[in-house]
Amino acid sequence: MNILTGVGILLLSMLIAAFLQLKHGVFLLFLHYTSGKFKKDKVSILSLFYILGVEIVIAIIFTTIYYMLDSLFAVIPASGQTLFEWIIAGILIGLGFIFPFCYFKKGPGTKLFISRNLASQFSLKAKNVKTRSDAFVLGIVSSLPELILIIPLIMISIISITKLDGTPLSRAAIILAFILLNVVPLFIIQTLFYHHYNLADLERKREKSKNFIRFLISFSYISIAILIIASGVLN
Amino acid sequence: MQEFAEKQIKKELKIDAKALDIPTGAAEVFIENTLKSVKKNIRTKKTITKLDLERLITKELKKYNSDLAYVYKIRDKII
Repeated sequence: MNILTGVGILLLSMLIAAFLQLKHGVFLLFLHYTSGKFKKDKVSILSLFYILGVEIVIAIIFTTIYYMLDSLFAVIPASGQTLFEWIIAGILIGLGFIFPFCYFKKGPGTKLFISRNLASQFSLKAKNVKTRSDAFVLGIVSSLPELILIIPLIMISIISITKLDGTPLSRAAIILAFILLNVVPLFIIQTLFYHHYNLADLERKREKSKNFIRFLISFSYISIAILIIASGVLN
Repeated sequence: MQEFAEKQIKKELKIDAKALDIPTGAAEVFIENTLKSVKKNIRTKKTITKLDLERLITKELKKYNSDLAYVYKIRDKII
């Protein structure tokens, strides 16, 4: 795998992980309800704990998979590793084709693929956040349903990191960038909220960009798969 | 079948209004007027579906504040 392919895979993976919508939707609801009940200072502390919850999940999942793949690749031969990459490419192509049809539900609004029961539970929890621990747990829980879409990306990113001949420090920097970029959109939403954007404004924007997000994420999944296949064929 | 939970709706709308930076006094007037005309509309009906009730409330709220009406309309459709 050359540097360009590796960096391309990493950037596209980061982009998808950052643009998945569940944590944004729950965060919007959470900001809306908490700013309707509490003062600004308390809302900003609570939202930091929400973001911390989201961050912790992605950090734990990333480091766990890194450790598992590192141990696994130390014992399996190169042909096994290539097979593993091709399996992930297949999964990513599948996700890329399914995504536009299944991620957002039909109809008005930005209803996501999760069950309506789960969505109303999230809504209820966002409405009832009172303490820092509530916000932290909500952040953790709202990241879990989308893990199925993120885990293949994390796996291929880790393979790219290990194949790029970098120093341990540069690898750590890439891992940190992956983990931190995941929550950048949440900070943007928070900043917009403090600059007099409200739930109605932001949700209108989300609704407008629904099809763009569908296309962007689907295209990115398929592009990553093509990059994996191309680097496998060229090697 | 559920009863028309006026108090609950009023409470939720007040939280929405505060989050949307609508002044408390104005929000209370909007909400009172909205619920008054909704009650007037449904007085003759024995039962009404939840969807129709939400549609009525949204329609009435829109007369006073489009953001509040939009938030009420899409609150179950964000995630």
